[in-house]
Amino acid sequence: MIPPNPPFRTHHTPRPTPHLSVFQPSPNGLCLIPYRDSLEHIRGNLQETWDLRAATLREREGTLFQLYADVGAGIESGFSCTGDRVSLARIAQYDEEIKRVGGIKSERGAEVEGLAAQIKDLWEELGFGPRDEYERSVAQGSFGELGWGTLVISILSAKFQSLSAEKLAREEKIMVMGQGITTLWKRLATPEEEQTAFLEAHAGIGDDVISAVRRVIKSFNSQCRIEVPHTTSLSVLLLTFSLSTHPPHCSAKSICPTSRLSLRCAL
Amino acid sequence: MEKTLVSIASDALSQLGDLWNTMGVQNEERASYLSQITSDVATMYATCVSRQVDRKSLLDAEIQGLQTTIEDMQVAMDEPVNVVSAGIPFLAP
Repeated sequence: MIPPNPPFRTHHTPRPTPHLSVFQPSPNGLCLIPYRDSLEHIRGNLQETWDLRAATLREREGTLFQLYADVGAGIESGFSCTGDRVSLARIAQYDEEIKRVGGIKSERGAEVEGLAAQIKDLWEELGFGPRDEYERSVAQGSFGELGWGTLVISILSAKFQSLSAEKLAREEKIMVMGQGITTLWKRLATPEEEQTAFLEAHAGIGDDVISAVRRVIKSFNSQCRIEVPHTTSLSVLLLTFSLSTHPPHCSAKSICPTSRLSLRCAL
Repeated sequence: MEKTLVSIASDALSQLGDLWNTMGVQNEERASYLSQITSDVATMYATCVSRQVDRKSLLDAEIQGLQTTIEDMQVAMDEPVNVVSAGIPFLAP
């Protein structure tokens, strides 16, 4: 006698899973072998989906770890490994975290770029240039080499503040020298065109300008000694323009209130 | 298949009867010989059944394993566990 088919029946209506091949038992049920084959088919489909999701998770994990490294942050709990969940919700968690850390990176990137641009402007004004690999990366805008960590922002901020202080010091120095040279020009009745030509040729706050002004003052001092060696008032004047010890009164700030003072402004 | 097996047995017994009649084999000897044949055939059938029982056990284990695997995968993938639930009554003791 042929044994009846095994009493394979469902207890409830299966919930739909559209992207998976769902085993639907026939009204009369299935024997073991076709049932096993159906299960194997389902397992195969699930494995395919599993592999795709696992690959997606690995890719997201790589992206996230790179972002953590970029911003110099440690790996958040829950993302140290993909874990044994390969659900769409887990992928969504990674996407959310990538978005969050990516946002931090973008904000810091903007801050780093802004500081780098300000530093480059100051270098240009001061006649400086990059002195090491790090500063070369700043100059070339190679922000990937600098990174996006808080340390980078601290270093760049410190550089910016240092350069700003240097700029201010030079502006003050040039202002003092400018006042001195103006007084000398007046004493020596230097023609207006000559004064203008000098000012146009020596704009800015770079070392070259400061050196040039020093040279001119020195030259004027020599001229004064040669041309009017016995003039008491000029001797006093020369002593007065020993700039490091006796800076003249500064009134240039009222003439040029901006921070970008030049010799021309100072005069 | 069963019909063929019955006819084979029937033919064999018929031939044996003819041979034994021709040879004048005594009934006690015939009974003893038939008893031995019965024992051999029973052993052979028992072996066949045993092999198929083993095969079914293997199939059951395979199905149980697949059900567990599928359920684990569906849980890990947050997919509805409908397939395995459908199979459980079949394998329940």
